[in-house]
Amino acid sequence: MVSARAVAAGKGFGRLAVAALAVLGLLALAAASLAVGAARLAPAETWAGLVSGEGAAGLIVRDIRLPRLLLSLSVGATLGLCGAAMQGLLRNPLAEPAIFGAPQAAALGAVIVLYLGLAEATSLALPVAAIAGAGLSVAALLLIAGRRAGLVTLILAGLALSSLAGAATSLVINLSPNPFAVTEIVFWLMGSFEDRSLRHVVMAAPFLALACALLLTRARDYRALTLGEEAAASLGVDLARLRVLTVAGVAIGVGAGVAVSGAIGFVGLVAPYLARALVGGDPGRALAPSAFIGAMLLTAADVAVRLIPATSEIKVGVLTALIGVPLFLWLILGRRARGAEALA
Amino acid sequence: MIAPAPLDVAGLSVDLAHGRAALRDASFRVAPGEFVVVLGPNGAGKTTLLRALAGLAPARGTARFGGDDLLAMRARERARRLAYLPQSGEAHWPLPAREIVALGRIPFGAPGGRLSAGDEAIVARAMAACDAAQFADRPITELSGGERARVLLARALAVEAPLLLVDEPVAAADPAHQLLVMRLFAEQAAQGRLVVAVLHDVALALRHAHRVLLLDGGRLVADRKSADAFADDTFDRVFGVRFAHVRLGGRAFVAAEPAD
Repeated sequence: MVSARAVAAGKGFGRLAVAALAVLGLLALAAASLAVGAARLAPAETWAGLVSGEGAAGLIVRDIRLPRLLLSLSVGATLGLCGAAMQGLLRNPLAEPAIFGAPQAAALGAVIVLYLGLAEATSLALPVAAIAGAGLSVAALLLIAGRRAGLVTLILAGLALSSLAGAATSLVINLSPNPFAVTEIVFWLMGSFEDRSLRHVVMAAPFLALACALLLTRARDYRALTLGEEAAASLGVDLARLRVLTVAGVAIGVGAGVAVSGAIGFVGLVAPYLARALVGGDPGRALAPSAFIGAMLLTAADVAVRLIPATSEIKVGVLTALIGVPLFLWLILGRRARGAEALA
Repeated sequence: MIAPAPLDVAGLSVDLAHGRAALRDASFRVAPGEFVVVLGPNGAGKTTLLRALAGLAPARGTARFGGDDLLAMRARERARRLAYLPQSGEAHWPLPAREIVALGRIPFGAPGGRLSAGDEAIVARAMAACDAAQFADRPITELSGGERARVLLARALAVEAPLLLVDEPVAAADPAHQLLVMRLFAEQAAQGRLVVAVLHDVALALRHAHRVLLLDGGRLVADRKSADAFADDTFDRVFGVRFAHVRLGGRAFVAAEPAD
């Protein structure tokens, strides 16, 4: 008979192996992200360019591809974490910010300040407006869906909110001063890491870090919520505080991400789904792996859009939606198959 | 191990919206070592009473326990004094049953969520006491209703709080496990704890509880020893039935008959 300690040691070894593989995977994706692009660079040239920063290779790798990589990593990690946190709070694996239009609402906030001429593209007003947009969307979802967000309520509330964000965006496009502004707004809504600079990274980093700090420290509370709100409260969880901190974290994370990359959805659905499979369903223990997987997914998607042959580069937000929506539908069908209790 | 302290509840009231009262001016005392059952028809305020004591419903009055008022206590502090098992039986993620039970250690845990060896032992003991050890590695979402209820009861036991508040713990249990849970509550009381349980089964309650509290329309209408439950017609009036009861060998046998 195998002792419990040996089993635990085996599990520990398995976890270590998974973690090592994940780190290797992330490094490989990062290398690919630096090596792939419109200009063809050999691996040696890429490396030399990154280290020395000299010549055309240095310019391409350091000023074009490195910011892109840093943004896909940090925004991907934050979006994965935001999804895991919303799902922990609402105890529902479908609670992804994009389902209720949080990125769209954030993009709307950014677009309003940008195209009404209130701010420049890298000023602080942009992330603040995007965070406000995302915050309104997340808070409204909690108010509408309420405390026991069942599948149907969640999806209907999400539909209403994303429709509202869409309608408001259409209004801005309708009123926009010129066709160039319209094109820009549409590109913004699709989400991309093209042509970003280190200034974008510096602008977003403090907000993304704050969002991650707010959400990562709530692991215990999300775990307690597995038992429902009343039992969690009886274990000492302050639910009102938890709701405020989660809404703030998700709004800051999604808003700051959108402010530098445009609307990118479904990373917060796919990453926590994979993370929970790794950690055995625990919503608290899934937080950090969700961030890690989110960083990997978005970097991989950003490499993929540069490899897919197309007349113009496919926007990364389009690709994540094309992957995420089928998973979303599949999850709904799985829940429906399990019966009426999930629909309640 | 457990400092024996009585629970003194005075003037406990809970208001619903629209000025209706869910619980009116309830006063009672539970001594250490007592297993008390709260009885009453549907909507009498039984769950409200437990929720008020657990700090989950805005309540007036006092509930003094070991020198402090449970109602005025910080949530973190209250979480160490009492364990509350809600009726809902919720478990939203497919965690292994052992990890569900380990959630009961949250009020004492390090923020990282790692269990000490002592915590592990408490979790194992609680699962064994509820006949749930065999589910330890199975996801709770795959258990039957009765099995899940036992795991959730073990979660409440794992808090090892001096006051145990349980709402309908045996609604989904088979007869053998109903008896197991009743005996468990008696044992918990014998260790110096206070057990307050809401039950629907009057016969089961009168057989096993030391004392019963009878609620009707939010009012506490009887507070008596189980053996004296039918000293007058209060129970018959409140439930709208006629309780037939005999005692055989010191045990109560109770059945509800139509009132007419």
